[in-house]
Amino acid sequence: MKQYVLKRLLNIIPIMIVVSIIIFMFIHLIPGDPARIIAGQKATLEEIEIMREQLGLNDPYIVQYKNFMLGILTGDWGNSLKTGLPVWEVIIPRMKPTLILAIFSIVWSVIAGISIGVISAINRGKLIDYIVMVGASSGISLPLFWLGLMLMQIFSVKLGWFPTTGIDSLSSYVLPSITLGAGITAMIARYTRSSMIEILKENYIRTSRAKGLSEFIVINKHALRNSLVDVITIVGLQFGFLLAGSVLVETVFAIPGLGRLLIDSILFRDYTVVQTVLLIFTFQFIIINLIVDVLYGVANPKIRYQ
Amino acid sequence: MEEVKMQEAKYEDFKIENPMKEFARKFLKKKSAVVSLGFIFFLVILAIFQPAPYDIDETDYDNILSEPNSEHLFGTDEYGRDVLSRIITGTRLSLSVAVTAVTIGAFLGSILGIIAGYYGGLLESLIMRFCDILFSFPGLLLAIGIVAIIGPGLTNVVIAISIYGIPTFTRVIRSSTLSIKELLYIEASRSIGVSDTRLLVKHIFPGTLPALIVTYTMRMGTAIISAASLSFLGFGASPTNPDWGAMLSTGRDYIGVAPHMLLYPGLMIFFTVLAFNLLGDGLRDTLDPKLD
Amino acid sequence: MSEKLLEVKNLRTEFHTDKGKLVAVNDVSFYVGKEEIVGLVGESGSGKSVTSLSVLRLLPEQGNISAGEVLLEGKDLLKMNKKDIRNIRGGDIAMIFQDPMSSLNPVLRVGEQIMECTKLHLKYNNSQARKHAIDMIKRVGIPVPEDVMNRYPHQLSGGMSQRIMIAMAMSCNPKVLIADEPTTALDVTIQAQVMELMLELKEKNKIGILLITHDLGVVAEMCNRVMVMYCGRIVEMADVFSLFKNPLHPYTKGLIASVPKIGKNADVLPYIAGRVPDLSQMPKGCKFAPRCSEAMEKCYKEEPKLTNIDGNRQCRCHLIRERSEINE
Repeated sequence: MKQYVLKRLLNIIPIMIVVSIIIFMFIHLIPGDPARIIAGQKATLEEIEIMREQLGLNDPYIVQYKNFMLGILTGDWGNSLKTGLPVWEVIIPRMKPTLILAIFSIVWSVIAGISIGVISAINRGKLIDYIVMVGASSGISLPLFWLGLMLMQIFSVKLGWFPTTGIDSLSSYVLPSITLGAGITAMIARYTRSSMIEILKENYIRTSRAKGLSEFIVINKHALRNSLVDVITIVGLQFGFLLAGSVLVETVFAIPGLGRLLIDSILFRDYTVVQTVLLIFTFQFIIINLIVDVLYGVANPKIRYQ
Repeated sequence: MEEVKMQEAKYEDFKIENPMKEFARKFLKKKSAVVSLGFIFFLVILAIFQPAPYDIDETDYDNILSEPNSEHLFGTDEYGRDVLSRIITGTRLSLSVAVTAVTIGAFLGSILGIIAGYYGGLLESLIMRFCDILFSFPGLLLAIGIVAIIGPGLTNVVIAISIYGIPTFTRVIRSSTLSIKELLYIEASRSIGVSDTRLLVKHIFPGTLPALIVTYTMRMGTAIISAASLSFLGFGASPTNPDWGAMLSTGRDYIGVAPHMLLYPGLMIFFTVLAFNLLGDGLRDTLDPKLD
Repeated sequence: MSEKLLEVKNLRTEFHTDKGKLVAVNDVSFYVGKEEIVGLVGESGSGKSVTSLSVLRLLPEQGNISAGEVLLEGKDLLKMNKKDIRNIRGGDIAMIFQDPMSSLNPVLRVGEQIMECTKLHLKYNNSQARKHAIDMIKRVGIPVPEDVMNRYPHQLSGGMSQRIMIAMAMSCNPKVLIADEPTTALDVTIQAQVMELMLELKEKNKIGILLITHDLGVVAEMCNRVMVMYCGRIVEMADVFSLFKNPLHPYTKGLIASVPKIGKNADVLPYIAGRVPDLSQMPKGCKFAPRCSEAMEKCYKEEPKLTNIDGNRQCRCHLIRERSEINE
């Protein structure tokens, strides 16, 4: 198990380095002179030169990258090009809404997805299974932002149950979480269903029935635990969907989170902020996948005891 | 006692069905996939002939944001333009963005995948690490990042979605190539002295086709949603273009007064994506490529 | 005749498939007595496993029992409600299966899987169940039971797994044990050990065992009585000595002849020609007739009935029927 975790860790470090290099290169990849872009259209040549010196753009790339990473690691993320404020001051207040949204969404969709998948699997071929399958296919095919807009139209505009935009109270998170979790629920339900159907054919399920265990225990203890080992991996993949989806959902519901900040910063060409947010998102995703891999190892005795 | 002699095999037992016939027979059993294929065919017809009842740029200021009625089945937008006409005309743009992006992604991804699977070694490691890196940008964020670098616009959206699709195709085609390579006939033809290029084109590529077709179909849905999402975020088609995603982006501002501006383009995207996904499911079940 | 513990009467089990309704078990009757091992022999597809699953109503969804009775000390298991039959499963009747490795749950510890039974049926608490499980593991001949308790199935060998399955099955003191090919997946040396263990348990606990197997060697070594199944029907039933000494049914004769014998240097092992017919394409008369070297015209037209012979034997064959009728 230790070896397994170590191996995963060693695996992601080079990936994190390359990803950080790509994101560091970001400012150089944009067409045009970064110093000019940052100094603004009206800047004189002199001002641009000062800016270049200030940003260390005259240093070799390797030194620039070292400074960039040191800055990231020590919390010195540079200044926003738009407001001039330190980037962390811009980013920190945006983290909370995104975090709340992500946690709400993943929690409800994991619970709902697994339950729906199990119910569908044990009622295979019946009407309820059919409804679940149609629902899951639809859930995967729904454009997330459109679902958000439709829910807003029905529940906020027409019925007035929830606020349309903003984050005044926890109820503001209900519709965004439903929106963000819908596709994930559908994916998890589909996967749980097919995994459960396969597992219910296994010999050890027959054994557990032959022991006289009730169907409830056979399903929830013997079958589901095995299925969860598989489902964990699919949940890990959904985090990518979750992070990217938060960008859309925050835009639809005007939630001042990281995702919305990313889009605004791109539109305002606030590249230091874009870099940092992208780095946060990707590192978060890589680390979550590492955690999921470890959890998979913990859930699967075959890996835990190697 | 397990020694049981087989009866004389009858001719029927070994008669191999024409593969296309067998495919058609199996595929036609999947009703949802057949209906989906029909719908996609219908979309293609719309895209080619664009049978829109009104000119899409024809404004009617006496008739702005009007609800669906007998004249305008899906209502009108903020300039009084016919929503139905814009949806029909938009089919061409929305589909061609997706087709172009997926085709480029499939082309580049498959080449990388075949090379990785066939040659192996350092080349394979490099290609697969490259994919890992692309995969470490969560979902649509890769496309968003690319658009951030190269700027907004329809062409750039196509480029971004193409790159976003590459690692998926590379992985699928690589594993498909690996399993074909294992098959004896490749060994056999190599020992006869067939060139690598010929082997790749004549033997390996056709073998990866089932996986390629299924992944291509599935990716179409993703690409349509991605393009619409980028347009919605303001990175894609400009609102003057009759693009489904751009229509939603505009419609958002009129959510209180003209929900039909949101409903119909969204439904169109939904049904199109659903059709590609269901068709993909059906093809996967019938072609049965070993996807992992 | 020993006391009848488990008695199956006129069992008929059907499967609903794409090809329509298939009869997998047809009019099967037998009993298992106290301290008795009854063998059920047949080729794969003969319906022997379906018979054993029918007893505890563990058939897959497509299967259903359309007629017959399964009596455990006189109570009909087929008429019980779901809760009562669950009390029988693992309680009065326990079962072990062919492939022990896949029959244990991979994500649960071995100890937990054994303790589950006693907690359920004997209402043991955790520490009682643990003590009992350790005791059971010891009894099936595994050293260091405390260590094995904490292992996961993939950390056990095939032989160990089957011992654990037996320990699990025996943990609630069942009256009847149904063993479905318990040694087929095991190495020959392990096979002998597992059979030895089953014989020992039979003696000590005075249980009846229904042993399903296709291996006549196992039958000869372990069983008191044997039933031979073909196409879902019992074609012959006899005590083990009579069966091997004087098989009556042509199918039984074929089975016995096709067992390789040491010292007999045959170039070609005798075999039964043809194959088991598909359940959906059953011949009209005797199901074995197409493969039978002694088949007569009558055999293709009319299915023979299971006939009592010499009091203790039964056989389903026109030849035997004619002979016994002449004797009468």
